Amino acid sequence: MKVIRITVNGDEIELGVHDAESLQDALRERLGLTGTKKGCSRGVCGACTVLINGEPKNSCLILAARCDGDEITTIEGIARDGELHPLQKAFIHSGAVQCGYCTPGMVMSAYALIQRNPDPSDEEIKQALGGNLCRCTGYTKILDAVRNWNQFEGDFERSPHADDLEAYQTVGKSLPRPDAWDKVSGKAVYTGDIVLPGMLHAKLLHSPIAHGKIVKIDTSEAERIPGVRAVITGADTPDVLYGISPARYDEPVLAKGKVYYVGEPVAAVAAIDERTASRAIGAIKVEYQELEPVLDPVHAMDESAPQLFERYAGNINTLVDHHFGDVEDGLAQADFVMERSFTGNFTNQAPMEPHASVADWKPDLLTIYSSSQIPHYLHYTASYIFDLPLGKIKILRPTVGGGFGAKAQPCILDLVAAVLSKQTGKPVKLVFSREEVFLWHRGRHKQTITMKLGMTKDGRMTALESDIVLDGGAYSSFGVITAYYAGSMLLTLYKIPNYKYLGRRVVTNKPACGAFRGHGTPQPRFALECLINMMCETYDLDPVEVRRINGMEPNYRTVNDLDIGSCEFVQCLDKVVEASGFREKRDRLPVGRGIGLSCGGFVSGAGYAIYRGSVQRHTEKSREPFQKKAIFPHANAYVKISEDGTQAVVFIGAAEIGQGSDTVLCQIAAETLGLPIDRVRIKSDDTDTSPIDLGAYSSRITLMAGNAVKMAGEDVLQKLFPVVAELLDCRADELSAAGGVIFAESDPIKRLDWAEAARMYFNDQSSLIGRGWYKPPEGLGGDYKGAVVGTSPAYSFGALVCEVSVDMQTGKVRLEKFWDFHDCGTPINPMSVHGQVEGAIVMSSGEAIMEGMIFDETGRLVNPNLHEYLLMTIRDAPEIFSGIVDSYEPEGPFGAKEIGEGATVPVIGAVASAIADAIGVWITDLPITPDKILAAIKNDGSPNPTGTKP
Amino acid sequence: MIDLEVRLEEPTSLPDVIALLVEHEGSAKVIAGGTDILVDMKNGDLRPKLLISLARVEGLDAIEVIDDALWIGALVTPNQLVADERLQAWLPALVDAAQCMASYPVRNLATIGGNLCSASPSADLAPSLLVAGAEIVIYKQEGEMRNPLSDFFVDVRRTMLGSAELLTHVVIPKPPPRTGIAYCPFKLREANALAVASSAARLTLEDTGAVSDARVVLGAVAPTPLLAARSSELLVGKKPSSELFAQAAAQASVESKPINDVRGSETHRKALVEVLTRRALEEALHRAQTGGAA
Ligand SMILES: Cc1cc2nc3c(=O)[nH]c(=O)nc-3n(C[C@H](O)[C@H](O)[C@H](O)COP(=O)(O)OP(=O)(O)OC[C@H]3O[C@@H](n4cnc5c(N)ncnc54)[C@H](O)[C@@H]3O)c2cc1C
Ligand code: FES
Ligand code: FES
Repeated sequence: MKVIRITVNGDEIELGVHDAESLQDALRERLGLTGTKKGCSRGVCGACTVLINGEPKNSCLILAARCDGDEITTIEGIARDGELHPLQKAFIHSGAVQCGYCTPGMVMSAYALIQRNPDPSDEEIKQALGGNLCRCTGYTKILDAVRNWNQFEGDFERSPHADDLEAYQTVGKSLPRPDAWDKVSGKAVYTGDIVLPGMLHAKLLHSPIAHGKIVKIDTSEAERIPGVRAVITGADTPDVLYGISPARYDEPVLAKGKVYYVGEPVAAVAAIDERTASRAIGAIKVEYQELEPVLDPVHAMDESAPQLFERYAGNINTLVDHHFGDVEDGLAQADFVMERSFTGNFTNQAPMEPHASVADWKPDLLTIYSSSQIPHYLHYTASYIFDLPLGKIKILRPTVGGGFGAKAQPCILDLVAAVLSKQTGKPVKLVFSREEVFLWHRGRHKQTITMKLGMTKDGRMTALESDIVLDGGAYSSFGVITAYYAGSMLLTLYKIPNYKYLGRRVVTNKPACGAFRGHGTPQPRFALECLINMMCETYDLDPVEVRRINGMEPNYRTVNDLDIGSCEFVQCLDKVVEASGFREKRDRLPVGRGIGLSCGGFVSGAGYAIYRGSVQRHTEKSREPFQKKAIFPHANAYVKISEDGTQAVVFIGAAEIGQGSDTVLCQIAAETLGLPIDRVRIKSDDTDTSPIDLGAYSSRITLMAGNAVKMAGEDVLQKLFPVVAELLDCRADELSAAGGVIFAESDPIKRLDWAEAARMYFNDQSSLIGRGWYKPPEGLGGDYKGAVVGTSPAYSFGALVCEVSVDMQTGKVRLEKFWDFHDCGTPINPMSVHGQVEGAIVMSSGEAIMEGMIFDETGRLVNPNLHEYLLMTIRDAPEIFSGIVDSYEPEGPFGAKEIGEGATVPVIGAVASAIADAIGVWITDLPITPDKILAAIKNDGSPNPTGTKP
Repeated sequence: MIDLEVRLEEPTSLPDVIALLVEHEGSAKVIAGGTDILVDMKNGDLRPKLLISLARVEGLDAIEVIDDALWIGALVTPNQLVADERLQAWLPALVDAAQCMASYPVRNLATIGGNLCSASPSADLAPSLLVAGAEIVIYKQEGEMRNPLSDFFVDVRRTMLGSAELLTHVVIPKPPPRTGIAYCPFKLREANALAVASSAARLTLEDTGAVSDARVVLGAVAPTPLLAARSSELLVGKKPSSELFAQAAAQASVESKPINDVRGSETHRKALVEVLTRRALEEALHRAQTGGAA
């Protein structure tokens, strides 16, 4: 131990620290300054940036013991006397904050910059912020915020945004997020920041081999280490498998008898601190009998390949064999047929906040704090595994630092922390390191795709055939659904009459793949959009016209029985082509410069829940048989009015994970209730206080939870209006509410203050509470096996153009500019919509050119860190124009549908096509790295596609 | 997570550092900025019992001109290099190299001494220092000695330093007139990325415009920074031209010995060496002609 004297945020303090303790840990654990975040602990993400004697530095790479005499400023020290620094206000009002996990580090780097240079150029801003990774925003609005920071001095004037809608009071306005204040000032509490009295810290032991039997585990030495409170292995966890789809529950809590991938959790330790737990993990001895690993998904299907699971014959975990219309006939009608192969990549969601969990198992109540997108499914799963009724479990969802699907399934951390808490009688905290985030994965499947498309001379698509092998990794996770989505979602953009899809999801000895933003669809969409562009190039067709001719129209039933409602696809296409100058630029840019067009779209919420009936514990039998309707409402909400009538609080389980759902739901509530936005707040983090909402996946919250909130708001007014009507001497159905006043439409003199009315209601009838819910329409989808996957109450559409330049000598790609137009129905918050689009573009173009998990020949992941798994930095990010087309979806609240996932879907195809345009050769396996580009340019001639006529 | 058994000492003089190193031979490591060693320790690749901090040792964090040479203290950070006007005039290639490293906050922590002593093949600061003919000052119990930097690197992450020796200064001689030096790295993203390959080139011109001295050093394509000797020789005595540079670049590529790893393939690296060397030579020529290193 060393005692250091330091000044922290102006206060001189004396602090005892361990010799080898990082400043990051000292600030967080000893001083409770948890605004300093922990995204990698290896100097790469910048989330831990603090100022030391005025200079920004990564606190994870500093030993606290070396800081004696230093002056340290953390995110908590920037606001003065409760007044935010103008830079912090700029972040809030520019929409630069989403999940907020990168925000403290970002603000610190930017703050240091404006101290040295109050008027920085864009280049200087990018230099200064290059070490701060953000997975949510695409950096566009962060750049805006820093550029304009000094416009937010004092009580600045907030200006309306260009896309704000006039038609409503609150909906359609680019309002700042209610949670942004906490996020810019370091006050937001993420799961990893939580400390409970007597809390223990836990660690996991991972399998070092990809496939093998566990012969023996010896925990005795670990148990003897002072400070260790519990050591558990598979034998200490319930004898039950779990997963996502009840039909494919195949995953144990901790490995039982066998391990299936490098990194699979085998044992866990709870101890008085993290370091003791780590040391104990190192003392556990496991003897394995290695088995031959299965790593290649195609060879995995060979008869000679080892069988990983008895239930998955030929290692095929999911087989989809769909045929709609008559593909042979369709191809025969085609004038042109082209078949090409494409390969995707393993990409990880890499939310900036690593997963974390704190469990506290008391005799009568299991409480789990989880960084989760799906508190309800976690609730369900805990009930199932631990054989407890739902009522004896409470899930709390602290601030979540991004998910993108990584946190869309109950995490090992939640389950192991619960087991350890039960054993020790203490709260237990378990947090992933960045490496563990990669090892747990549940990210994008790598898909190997062969696609064949037929077109007539005038560009009409006659048939599509798709054969996809999905490398699923060790367990099912979301993969069954992924395999279906990879097929079903191809048909929502173009009216293709004949379609055949063979999908095979194969188990291999790699981490399990799951649902990643755009779930299953970005890679097949990349393949199809490229194939269309290839055919247009080869047969001299116009890629815009081809898309227009086949383009989806409103109220259309696809050949695989998806019911499209509102649809402004062609409008998106026309607008993006015009804004980008696509027609003028295509084929006319110089060598090394290219432009690409691609389209996409997604569901606004899955039509069916993942499980059907009531919640089940594993000891209970019968599952309700499949019925073509929602058994229970997918979203449920209350709106409670405070007793003085001044404030509405929305209670709902919809998980705010950084995407902005709290903001959108508050706006919907405010609009419905007729209250100004500052009189609505939301409580969405507690399953005890909020009714079920299925969570943040399948882009469902705006539409489904939005409808539930709207209905709950209407329920409030229905209760309130009769009281007002009596007082004003009018009929209740004549009344409206807006701007905090209730008034008769016909007679403006008849009006009553909203709060006053609500107060009177409380005096006579007790609490004013509205209830609302949303069930998807009955009967969605066809009657064939798997018809439910892809169904949705509404679909989004988008078109995207991207321009790139390529250094023809090194193969380096520079993403110059993107133009995106989206049909997301009514944008409830246009700034949020653009934020989703910008984030999606940067994330997915990173997938297109630089991201990829690499496994060696033994199945070990070679790059489980942010230094070698490359997320784009602000210096790599392109300029982005995001536009919203006029559209109204009758099924959505105020006409809204989704944007969050749909925005990713067109990106890879656009980038790949732009690169092909720039270099004159198609590269069809992802990521399109400089290495591959240079090789393709060198071998030019051969891979250029030519089509065949049947 | 670093084991708490690890101890830290913060001596204030070089002799004290050496005394500690001698006393704890084999189990002690010096820590400068810590950006390499702490990552290694967190990854479990390195487990010293004692860390000896250099931060409180006097006189290692300045850039000074002594006898027509620039003396750069081992603790000077990349951001200090970038900000130094003398260095900008004297060896702009090193400024470029410092600027392309890591990220702004890491550049406030990392040190030139640590960058050289880590001896990572992809490290950014070595190649331009090597072509500039830099020397290093090594401090040990017996006293100080000056060595050419070109002798320093032994293998991947291994230098000639003994276990109780320190690097205290990097000495850059004043470049002769009409000398230009340039550094061209190739990285997969624009910040926080290590070089896939890099090339530093130096040209000194005669009055006639012919090359009187030339050196090409490659990074990330061999276990240590690699002097492309034949490529360098090929340039000497000739008039600079695109053909000459193309020849020298092709030769550099032949001399490189890259491997396949996460950052790139052997083939790509070979191709990169050629492009980067050509670009470095062109920039070096430009600097030599415009008096970049006056
Ligand atoms: C996120 C990140 C990005 C990075 N990007 C780059 C990059 O782009 N380019 C690049 O070149 N490097 C990069 N690095 C590596 C690293 O920052 C540099 O190599 C840095 O210069 C090391 O200096 P240091 O003072 O931090 O070294 P330390 O970690 O303190 O020391 C490194 C090694 O050198 C020894 N040592 C240090 N100083 C001396 C001395 N004076 N005498 C004897 N031995 C000594 C130590 O014992 C240790 O073995 C990156 C690192 C991180 C974490
Ligand atoms: S946590 Fe320090 S840089 Fe990522
Ligand atoms: S807001 Fe930047 S990582 Fe989420």
